[in-house]
Amino acid sequence: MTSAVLLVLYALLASTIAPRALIGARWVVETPRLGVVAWQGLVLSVLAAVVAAMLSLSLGFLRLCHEVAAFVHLCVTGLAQEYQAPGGGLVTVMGLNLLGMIVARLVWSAVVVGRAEVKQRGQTTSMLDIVARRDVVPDVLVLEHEAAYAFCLPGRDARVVVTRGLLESLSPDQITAVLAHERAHIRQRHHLVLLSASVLSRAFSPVAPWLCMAEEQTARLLEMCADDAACRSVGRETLRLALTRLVPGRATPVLLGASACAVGERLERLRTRRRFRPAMLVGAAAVVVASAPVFMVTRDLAFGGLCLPM
Amino acid sequence: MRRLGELEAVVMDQLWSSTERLTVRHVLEHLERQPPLAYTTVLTVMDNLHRKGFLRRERDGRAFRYWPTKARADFTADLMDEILSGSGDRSTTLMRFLDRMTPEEAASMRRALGD
Repeated sequence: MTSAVLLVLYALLASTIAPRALIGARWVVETPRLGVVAWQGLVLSVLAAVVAAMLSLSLGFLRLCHEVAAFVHLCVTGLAQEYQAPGGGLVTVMGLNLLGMIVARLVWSAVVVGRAEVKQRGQTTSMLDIVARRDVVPDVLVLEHEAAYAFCLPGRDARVVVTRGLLESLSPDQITAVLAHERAHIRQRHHLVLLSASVLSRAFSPVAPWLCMAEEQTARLLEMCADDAACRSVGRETLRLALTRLVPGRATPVLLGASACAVGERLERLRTRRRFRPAMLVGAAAVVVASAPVFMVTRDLAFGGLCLPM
Repeated sequence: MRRLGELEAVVMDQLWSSTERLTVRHVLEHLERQPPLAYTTVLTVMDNLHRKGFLRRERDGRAFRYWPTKARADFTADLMDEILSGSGDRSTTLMRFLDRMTPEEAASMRRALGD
């Protein structure tokens, strides 16, 4: 019971304090990779804390046994002990119900998001493969469109797409910069991080609205990660100039939280970025603090130490 | 599957650059492939393209004559519209990696650069 209370307390504190701290933090922008880890770590640790709290409420104590049969027997006797006391039984049922709801919600969200992703990708890919030209730039699809756009389709059959407009308004160096940025997204598998953030946000944002913020911030930071990767091969100024040449477009709700809004910010960051040495330390410390409860929970599950039976 | 998609692209290239309505035989003869493709392969590809809405066709004796439903530019415009507006109720990850700016950002940037 005590551990359940502590875990729920952690979940509440973390979800109210940490997001604000991360948004204001300078180290997050200076080392965007660590920033992404921090945001995702925060989300996952809060989820883990809630799940562990439900588990510890419903089963009193858990021990990881090597034999599944012994484990099941232990659960059954544990449950039987719980049900002996009327109060215990109610808490057990509540805990199990909530746990079931959490798991079901997560699975539903994963299925919905996954299906939409696969469908969208399939449609866009088959259109692109026919409509775009492959013989203009090696390994890049070119759309005959006068506005300057660049994007990538990440995943197994990854594709980088640019428009004719982009090829005509940017210098060769700048085109290289944009391509390097898109390829970094593909190479570093950013779409997987975004998918995970999207599934969690879709599942639980009705009860935890800050998850939407976590998703947006992660997308924004991933753009900066790709910028950093591109800068390594082409230089900051080239990338910055390339970004300034991109077309002004209609802001839509869909893209508002992602790269569309981030471009101005990315430009500023590329212009003024200084090496903030303590950033790494601060970031590492934050990540350790955020993940401490996860270790605590894992230790509980493994040794049944902290958990006290009802 | 990837190779079939490539073949579809090559066939559409030919049809888009032609002003006439073409038969399968004509397309096959103008495809420079070593080893040459089978008639049935090209027939299947063009039939698929018709099914997917890229081509229209009319009977000409025993065979069909095919032509594109829309110019390449129109397909491109439709595709760009779809990508930019983010079809579906939630954005998917592929939409996220689109690089562009809002008019407000562009304006403020031009001001900052003293354009």
